[in-house]
Amino acid sequence: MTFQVKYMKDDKSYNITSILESCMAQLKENNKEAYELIIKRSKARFFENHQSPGSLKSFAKDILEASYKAVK
Amino acid sequence: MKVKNIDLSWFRGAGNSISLDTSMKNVVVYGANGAGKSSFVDALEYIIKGGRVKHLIHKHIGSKQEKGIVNTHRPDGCDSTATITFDEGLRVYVHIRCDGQLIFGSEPEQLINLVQSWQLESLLLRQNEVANFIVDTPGGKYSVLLPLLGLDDLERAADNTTKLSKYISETSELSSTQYKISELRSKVDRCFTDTSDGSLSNVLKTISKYYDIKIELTESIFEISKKLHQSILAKMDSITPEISRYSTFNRIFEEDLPSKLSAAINKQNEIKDKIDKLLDTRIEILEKSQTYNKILEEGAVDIYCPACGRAIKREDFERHVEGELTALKHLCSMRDQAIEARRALKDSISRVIGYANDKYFMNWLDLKPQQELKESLLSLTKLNEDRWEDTFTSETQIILSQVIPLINKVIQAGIKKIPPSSSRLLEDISALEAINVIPEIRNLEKHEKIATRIINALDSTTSAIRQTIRAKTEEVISQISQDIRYLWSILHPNEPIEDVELYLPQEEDKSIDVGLKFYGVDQPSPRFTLSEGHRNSLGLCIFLALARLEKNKHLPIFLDDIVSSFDREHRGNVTELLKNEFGDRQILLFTHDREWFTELSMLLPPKVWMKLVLKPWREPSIGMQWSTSEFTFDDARDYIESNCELAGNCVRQIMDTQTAIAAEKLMIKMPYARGDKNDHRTCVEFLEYIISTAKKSLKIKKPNNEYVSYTEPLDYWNDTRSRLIVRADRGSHTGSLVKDEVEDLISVCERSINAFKCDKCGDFIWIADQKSKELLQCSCGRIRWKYD
Repeated sequence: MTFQVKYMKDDKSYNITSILESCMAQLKENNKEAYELIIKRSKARFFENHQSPGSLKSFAKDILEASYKAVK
Repeated sequence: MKVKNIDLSWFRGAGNSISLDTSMKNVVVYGANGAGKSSFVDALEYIIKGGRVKHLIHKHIGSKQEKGIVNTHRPDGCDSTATITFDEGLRVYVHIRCDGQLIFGSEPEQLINLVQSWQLESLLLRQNEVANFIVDTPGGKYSVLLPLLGLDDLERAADNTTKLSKYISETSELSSTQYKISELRSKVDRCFTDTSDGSLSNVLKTISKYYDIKIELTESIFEISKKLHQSILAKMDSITPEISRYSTFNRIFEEDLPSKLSAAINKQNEIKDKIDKLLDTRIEILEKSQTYNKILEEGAVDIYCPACGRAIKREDFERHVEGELTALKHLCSMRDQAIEARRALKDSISRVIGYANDKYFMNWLDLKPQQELKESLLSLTKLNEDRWEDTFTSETQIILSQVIPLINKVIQAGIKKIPPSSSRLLEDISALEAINVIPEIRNLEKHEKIATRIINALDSTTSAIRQTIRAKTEEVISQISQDIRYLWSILHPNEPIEDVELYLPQEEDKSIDVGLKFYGVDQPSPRFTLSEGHRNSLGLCIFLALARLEKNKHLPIFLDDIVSSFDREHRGNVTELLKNEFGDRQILLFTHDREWFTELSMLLPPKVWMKLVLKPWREPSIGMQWSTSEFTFDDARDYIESNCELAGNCVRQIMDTQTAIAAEKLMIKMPYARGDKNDHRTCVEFLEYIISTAKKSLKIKKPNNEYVSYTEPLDYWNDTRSRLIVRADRGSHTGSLVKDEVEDLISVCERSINAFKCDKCGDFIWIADQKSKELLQCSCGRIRWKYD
């Protein structure tokens, strides 16, 4: 058994992205841009990791800009 | 995964080099307070936490706590290092260079990432953490337990989605947008009940018609509204003179010059007739008056009236004259009325000229269509400069009769063109402004809707994550609660505290508490009823239950001074629990409790347990040092140089504990002692009964497998007992022990304790589990203790 297989297996029975996808079905319909940005970040494990206020504020700005741009 | 070595160099209490070599066994490390045992635990925490040890946190300790981690007497040019070597040659390390550089590394390279992903709290339990956990708030317990339950990433996700939602709200200025929408909406609502395009279009049509402004119906209603608004605002300047002019028209009209002119002329004509007649009669009167003297002289009957000239009978004359006077007075009145009428006309004309001097009216008069009116007014002005009212000549009358009707005609036409009222104007401007803000409202509502939808999606995600956390937590805490109850029952058999469990308080996120039954009564918190010792015991059960979770099962367990507040009985239960329930886990146990260490070292099988003793710490440059003995007599040795009597006392205390445990394990029968005396028996007394029982119970196996009496240890124990009576008693009472005597006493005591062990297997005589209840023996069976 390799080191990785023996000690580094991921036994999580939940997935943040799946939770986001199911909770954001409506957002996906009316604001695809925001939805895709959030899901993209989620797949990069953005939400599971600690985020600084600066990084969250910047992400919030990106989401809004993309959303406003899309509805113009 | 087992720890093979922990090597320290100039790290915390370590000097140049010290190694905790476990030989892959469980380890119990004894060290008096300050001996440096926690330095090993600190090394583990420092590596896992990437340069942070919780109990060292201080504002002046440095960014990587180097002021607390590095030995204060580290020689120049030396690094501080901590290396943990695991089985299969895996190792992780940290080097704190002289220049302050911090290097974490491992072999293999990725191991450091794995180790730093471990939840320290599921590996390491310190005494203060046990106590703190139980008295912590439900929120504090939640923070501690969540990582141990493996749900901290969910908690971070919930925290991140919550904050992201908040920042979306802030960045989009949602609250001020909603306020602005509400303000603008109320402005619109004040003007319209229906803001549909069709309804607004009708409003615009009405306004454009009223102000006679042409609109292009092909444009959007908001473009139309904007243009109408601009046009009406532009019209404001022109509308102001119009209103002023209209006011002038009204005022001129109200002067009613034609009527006044007519009155003046009529009055004038009336007087004229009368005056003509009067003039005629005046001549007659003057002619007749020449006859008055004659009449008076002759006494004539008839008198000629001086007023009318007619012959009036003398007796009628007086009445006739009164009539004439009345007629003349009436004429005077008519004259006065005529004068008044002329004056009224003149005054009125003067006012009209004054009204006409209004700047907006004058500007309007300057326009070509009003030329005739202007000239008329000029005529009036010129006329009024004279006192025409005195004479009121026919010429004047002609002029006035020409000019005034003309003025009247224009004025009458003017007052028919009523300008818009200011209230109407304001209403229309408000309506247009309300229409003009509708696009802004719609735009703001669009942005508000975008932000609200994102926030709602994030909030429902947070809620779903929290539900997941709750469900997972309930699942895990239900599982570990069973284990907590089981472990509690081992530590506290037959005690009235039952049904210990972790639970999630209803309607509260981020909180976990511990519930239990105390004498059958539900208690929502152990704070209410548990003593400090019981609380710590409960904390230990919770930690051990968590450590036994499937995901942690391959990791070693570090326990640092966890039984400080336990009494002897419960410490013994902890020993049994570790021995029986954690046989498959590597345990690294650190304690300053000499009595417990003695008990552990005499009970735990050496095949699976290492017993290590740290010497009392002396100074930073020497650092931590291992004792060469597995017993704790180094504590006594430490006092020899400074206080031999204290050293002698220490030896006796150690022997009190060692012999008490030996007597207990050998089930030595001793006479009952009243009260506290049972708990204050001395090593001398224990040795006396051990020696007495050993004479018939202690056996050694011969090569032919026959067990015979084993007397050699008896000699040691007798010798020790004699010396303890003489020297230790002297130490406590006379204060006359010397260095050589203490060293000799320690040496003899160590030999005596070793005499309970088998030379071959190294186990104490009572270690092996025996099917027979009648004897004890070491692991290899070479020595045994047969008892009744």
